[in-house]
Amino acid sequence: MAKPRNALKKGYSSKAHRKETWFILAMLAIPFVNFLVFWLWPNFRSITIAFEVPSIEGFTLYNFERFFDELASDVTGPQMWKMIDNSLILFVVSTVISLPIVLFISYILFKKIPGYKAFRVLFYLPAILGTTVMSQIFKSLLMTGGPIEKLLDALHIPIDDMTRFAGFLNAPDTSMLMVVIFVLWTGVGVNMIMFTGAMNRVPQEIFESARIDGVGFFREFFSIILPLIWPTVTTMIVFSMVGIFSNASLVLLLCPENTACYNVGYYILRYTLNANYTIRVEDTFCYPAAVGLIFTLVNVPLVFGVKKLCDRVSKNIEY
Amino acid sequence: MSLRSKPSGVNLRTRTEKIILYSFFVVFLAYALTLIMPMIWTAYNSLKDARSYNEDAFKFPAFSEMEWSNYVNIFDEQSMTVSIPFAIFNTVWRSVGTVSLGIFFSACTSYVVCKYADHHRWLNWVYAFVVTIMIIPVLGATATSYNLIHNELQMANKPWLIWTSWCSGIGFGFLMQYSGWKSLSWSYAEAAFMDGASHFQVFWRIMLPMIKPIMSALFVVNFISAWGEYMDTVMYMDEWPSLGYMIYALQNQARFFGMPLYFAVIVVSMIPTLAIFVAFQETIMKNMTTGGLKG
Repeated sequence: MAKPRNALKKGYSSKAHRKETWFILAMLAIPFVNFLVFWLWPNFRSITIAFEVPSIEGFTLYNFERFFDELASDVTGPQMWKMIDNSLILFVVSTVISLPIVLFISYILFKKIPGYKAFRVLFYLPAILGTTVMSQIFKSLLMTGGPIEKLLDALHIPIDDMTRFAGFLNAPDTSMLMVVIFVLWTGVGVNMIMFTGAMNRVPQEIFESARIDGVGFFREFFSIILPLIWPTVTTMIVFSMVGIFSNASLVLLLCPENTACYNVGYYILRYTLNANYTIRVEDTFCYPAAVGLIFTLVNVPLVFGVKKLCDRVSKNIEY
Repeated sequence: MSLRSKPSGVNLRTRTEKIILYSFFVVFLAYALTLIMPMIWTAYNSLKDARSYNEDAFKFPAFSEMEWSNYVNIFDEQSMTVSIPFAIFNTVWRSVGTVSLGIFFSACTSYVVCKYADHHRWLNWVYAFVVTIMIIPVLGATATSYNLIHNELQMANKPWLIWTSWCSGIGFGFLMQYSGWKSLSWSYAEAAFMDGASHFQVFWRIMLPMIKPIMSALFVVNFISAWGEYMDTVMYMDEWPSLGYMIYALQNQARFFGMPLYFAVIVVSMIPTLAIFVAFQETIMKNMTTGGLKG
């Protein structure tokens, strides 16, 4: 990697160095303060309050015991495991299933399939309209007595009474499936833009010479495109991994009342929002902070492991 | 495409490739239809009255029966129980504020980290650090951030304070602009230094204008995603609700004033982002890329 060489190299004095240092500090000052206040402090506090409890003086492991007790209990256990399962399902769907599909879709659009410009806009539509709008339209379609129900009736596809009564998003059997469908349905947009952007940066001559060598459609994808845009792919995989346990908004938007589709992120959010209605506000944040810490400890090695693995697959290529 | 200019003049697209592309065309068309149909459905149902929507949600309303007054009624606070103009106002200032500050400060941080790391080695550590904290999943902090804003800083529902939380200078914007700076030659800056320009002048007058395309692509993409934002409203700003939050919150009340009015709110909220996207499509497609995460 070629680093920009500074012109001041020749007559570069310590005075010039000091001047540069002041400029750098001035440029970084506000973001740094912001980082201390809005990132470091809450994160530091979340670790310390995880070991606190309102009724007990000083250091305690109560919150962690409470979490593992609830996990092991026959009463709350199944629900807790379901919520962990749901987080993992969302991860598998958005990273393992959706990302490769989107990658391939981007390749086909990049190959200028007829109408590729229109497709690009249409596929980006969910991102333009935003998750909020998309989710509420999705909800309206799935409502009790709504269009999807009528459509399935017209096609004589049986719906069981429970589902019909509660609606697809509130019935325990179908809700998670609906969330998965929503993720796949709306998940093309942003990733597609990133992948297409990366593919467009690959120099045209590479494809032309590959063509002359008789490289086919699929081989071009796997042997040329994929290795060349691998850094971008890695970035997208890593960011998707980071969100595994924090994805609360999807549940909040689609099925906030239905425990069958709760996930870890939403579990933490619910405790957080409820905590503010109790009297000693700060103390009651202890439990969600502890749960967050536990899942952070699970998630961090996963993220860094996957990143390392991705980096090993191919060293970062510059062109 | 440049393939046309090949002297041999042969069509380089093979037969199999054509078959593959056309079969994908069919699949793509089907998928595009699943995206566009619900939008059209929403749009024409926003022009019905509540009764005819309940009777038949599929029927396209006759032109004479279209309830254009729905689009007037949604601005009536009495019938909606909430103020849509106020929500639009909030959405505008919050989206513009969070996006502009975010991009500006990430331009500052990525600029010095990229261009001054030669003389100031510690900036390489700053880069590695920024990339690392971006990929650390912070879950426990949901509760403490909430507590920070609500209780420790007393910033919740105070627009004149909340903007300070938008000046982070890290995130996706940092990555994109960093790769933008990297592809810019430093020789422009050198020339300006010779003429006696200060570091800030070089940044502001010479370098910053050159990554304008990346900044505007970032602005559009971030603006579009900020427009539908509702989570911040849930967490800190419920007295200054955004349109996204309204759409989320009104869903449960839609049975009272009728789904068509609700759909009209959705359509109104869709128009700005659609218009902006159509206008800046090319800028986005050309400039959105991050590259890898080194560090």
